Amino acid sequence: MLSGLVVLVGYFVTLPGLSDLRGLFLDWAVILTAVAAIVGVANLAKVHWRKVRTGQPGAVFSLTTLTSLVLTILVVIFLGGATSAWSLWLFNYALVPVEASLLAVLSVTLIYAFARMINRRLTIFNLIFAGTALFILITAFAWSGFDVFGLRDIRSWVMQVWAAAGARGILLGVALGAIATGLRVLIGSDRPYSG
Amino acid sequence: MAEVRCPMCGKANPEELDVCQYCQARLKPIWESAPLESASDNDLPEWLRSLRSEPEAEKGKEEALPDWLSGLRDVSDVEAPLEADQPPGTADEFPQDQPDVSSQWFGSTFAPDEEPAEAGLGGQLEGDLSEESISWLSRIQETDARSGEPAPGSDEAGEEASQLSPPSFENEIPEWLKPDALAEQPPEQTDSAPQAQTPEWGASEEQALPEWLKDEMLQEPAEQHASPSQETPSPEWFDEDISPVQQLADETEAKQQAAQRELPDWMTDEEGHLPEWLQSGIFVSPLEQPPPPVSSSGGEPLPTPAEPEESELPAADAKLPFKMEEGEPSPLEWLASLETESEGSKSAKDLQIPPEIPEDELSWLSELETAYSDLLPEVDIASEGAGGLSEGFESEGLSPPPVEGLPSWLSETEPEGEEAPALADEEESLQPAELPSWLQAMRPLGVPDEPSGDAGAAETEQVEGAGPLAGLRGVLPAEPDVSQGTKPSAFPIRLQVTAAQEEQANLLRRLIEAEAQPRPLPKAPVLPAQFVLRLVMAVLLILSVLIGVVSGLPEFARPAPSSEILAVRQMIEHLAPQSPVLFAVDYEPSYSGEMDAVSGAVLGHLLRRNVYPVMISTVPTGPIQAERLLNMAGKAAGQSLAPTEQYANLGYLAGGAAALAAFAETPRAYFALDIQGGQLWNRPQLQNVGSVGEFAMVVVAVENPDRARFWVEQLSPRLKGTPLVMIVSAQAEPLIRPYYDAAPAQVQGLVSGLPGATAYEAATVQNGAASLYWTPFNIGLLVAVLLMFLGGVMNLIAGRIVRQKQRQETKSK
Repeated sequence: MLSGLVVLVGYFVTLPGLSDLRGLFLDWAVILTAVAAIVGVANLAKVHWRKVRTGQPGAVFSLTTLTSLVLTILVVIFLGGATSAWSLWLFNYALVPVEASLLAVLSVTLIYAFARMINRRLTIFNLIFAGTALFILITAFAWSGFDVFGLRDIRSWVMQVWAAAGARGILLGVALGAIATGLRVLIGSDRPYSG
Repeated sequence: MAEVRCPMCGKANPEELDVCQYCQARLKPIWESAPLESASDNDLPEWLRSLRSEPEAEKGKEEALPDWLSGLRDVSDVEAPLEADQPPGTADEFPQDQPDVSSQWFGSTFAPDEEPAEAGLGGQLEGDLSEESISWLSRIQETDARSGEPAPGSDEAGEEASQLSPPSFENEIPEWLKPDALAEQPPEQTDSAPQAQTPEWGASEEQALPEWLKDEMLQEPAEQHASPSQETPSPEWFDEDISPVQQLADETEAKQQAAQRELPDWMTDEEGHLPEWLQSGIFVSPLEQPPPPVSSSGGEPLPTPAEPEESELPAADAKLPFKMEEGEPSPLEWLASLETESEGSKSAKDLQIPPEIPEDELSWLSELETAYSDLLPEVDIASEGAGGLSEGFESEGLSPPPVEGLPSWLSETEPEGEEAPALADEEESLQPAELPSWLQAMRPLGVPDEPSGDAGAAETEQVEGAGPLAGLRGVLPAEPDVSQGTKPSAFPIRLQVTAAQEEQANLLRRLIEAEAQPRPLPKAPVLPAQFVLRLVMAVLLILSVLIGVVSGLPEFARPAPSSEILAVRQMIEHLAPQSPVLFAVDYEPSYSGEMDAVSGAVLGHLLRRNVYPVMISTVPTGPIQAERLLNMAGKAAGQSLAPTEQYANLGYLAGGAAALAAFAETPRAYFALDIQGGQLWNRPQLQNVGSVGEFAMVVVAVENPDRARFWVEQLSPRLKGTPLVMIVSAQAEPLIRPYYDAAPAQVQGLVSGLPGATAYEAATVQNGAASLYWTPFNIGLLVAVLLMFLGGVMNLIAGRIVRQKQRQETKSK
């Protein structure tokens, strides 16, 4: 709590000693976060190793995860580091296609969910949502001569006014929530890391 | 050997013991030695009986007293607080625990255990009659002779009274009262007062006459002397007794109320009244009468305002056996008037004696009248009884209080005769309230209708049978009344419902029963319709995109660059060669399809401007993502980028927003080496960089709105004029655009999504990945919109059809 107050005050008051102290606390936070990442990787390996050893359902996927982890570590350590050609190959031909495929599946799923939404829940808000989504997508289509009746201007108006207003409202809410959460952490009433 | 069980501890003791050998409690009641155990003792409450069990030390003292006097101790103890109002003279001379003589005289008559009906008094009259039995009369004569001496309130009177002790009292008997003198008296007087008929109480009084009784008797003439103006003075307490009937009735009521107020609650009944035996005792005790007013000078009693007139007093000196001077108050006048009053209230002959008292047991009363007829003025008792106080009571409608076991002429009147009928009439006039049925139905279960009034009476009547309180009455019960609640009445289980409610209940029961019946599950199709629909959608999307990628047709026009895109281009165009540009690659590999195209367009422009990009990322996969991006951009620019010389990759920055803030202030503290392990800050491009504000430009490529917000909020205060350009995905644009539209703007340039990247390439005359993706993107977008629309319409129609079928099936069932 004290470190949080020091860092918070350091944003508003410029004092030589206070600035150094705030920097020191931030350095500690960065180190702890890096260590937490290492601990997280170790815990992930431990959990999957337990699944493989006990033969639980999905042990094959756990074995795949452990194999990938070990292989990547070996490549990074013994084959030129994190940005070497081997590491880049793994990234380009393993990680990026897998994750991009997941996002591609998500696009198909969203289209299907939209169609099912009209069937299952046909309310006024669902209709507004569906109509707005369709309008934005259609007006984003860049067919030559497609811009009739000023549809792109309407799209820009919807994006600049309605969407921006909603986004700013979300940002204000997020800012207030961040302040409240920060104060709760500072006064010790909330311990997000179970400290 | 017979055993006696201790009433306190309940243990057996030998019969000869007087005190319990275990708890030292008295085994034999003190009053057991009383001449007679009156039947009225049984009527006394238990607590009052226990009061008689006084310590042994007082027992001997009381044994000297006649029984009828000692019995008054109970009454006097109750009335002890009232004696504080006595005059100083009498208060000093009289013990606080002893009543005055009048109270003794009256109290003895009303003492429950000294009932004349017990025939004990009559028996004692025969044995105790002696010559000394009339010694008290001689003392009266002596006090008459001393009438000229100071009042009893003075010290001299007190000393003289103290000298009148019983042993010397006999020597001071006047001659006329001695047996010799009595023999010389006229025959009518000696005949009228035979010694054999001297009452026993007179004899016992002489033998053990207490001091207070003597003092009181001496005080009578003194008080008479204190008021010489009156020809027939009498004791004030007596004067008030023989005051007019109305005054007596009022005073009686006032005294009773005062006594009840001073008495504790346990002595009164539920209505706050005293028991009848106590009321009678209070009523007749002269202690209850207001004391005579005392003068402020010498404590001499002043004549009471209610002092009776001379005519109201009987002519006591008319038949006195001794000679008295004219104008002197007669010492026996109080006695005469007292007996006159007593007889006047009701003669023993005329009274209605309770049937439980035998007639022969009341013979002593007639004997008493005969014995003192010569000492008293010649008053026609019969006529006085008709015209005396009792007549006054009767004339006023008052009746003497009912004293059980006592002659009615001794009992006092109590003006309750009229109140009782009045209360009865009032109770009859009060009709019980009738509660409505619904209110009666709200009455809680298990609660009796009326609180049992007998509970308290039962408690008071209950006698403890065991334990140390054995034998005591009115002990608090160990079991509270709460545990003795009544059992709740039983109600029928059958519900009282209407026909409609019963029909609804049956309907609900049928529904539940139908749910409980097993139904065969429909066979799952090999290929569900939804799965087929999703598969068709995916195939259509993939085919449309592949067609666009392969053929490149149809060709779609590039969108026109917007102002934020033109601002980015303008800022990059103004960058000097080899100027350090911080380029953050903060997006996940899943967004590489979109973000690589957008970031590649901007990074390619930077590389063409020959700036020195410094790559950094807050995502673990960011460093290698940056390498991938540099390779793609280099290929697009026709360059082969060499690390250290043409760019620097700082690697992963752990810590999120906190690390961004720290890095913005002191970047050298976090990264001393690049990701390849080479020295970083000694490079000529980075020698002047000490903070994030000393970079020529900061470009952040991020797809996550929260992470984009972190960059903007943490870096903007520390940029010191360095432009911040955000390269975001289409989903993050709505949240980042407000920072660009703000005034002053926190973001100086914005490139969002594939349309933004295509527009930027068009503005910078590039043909990168964004231009390549533009046609498939548009085809895929069009197909997606069509699928959404058609799929929605189809599902809407299919849903309605299914619902109609379900309704038809439900109706058919």
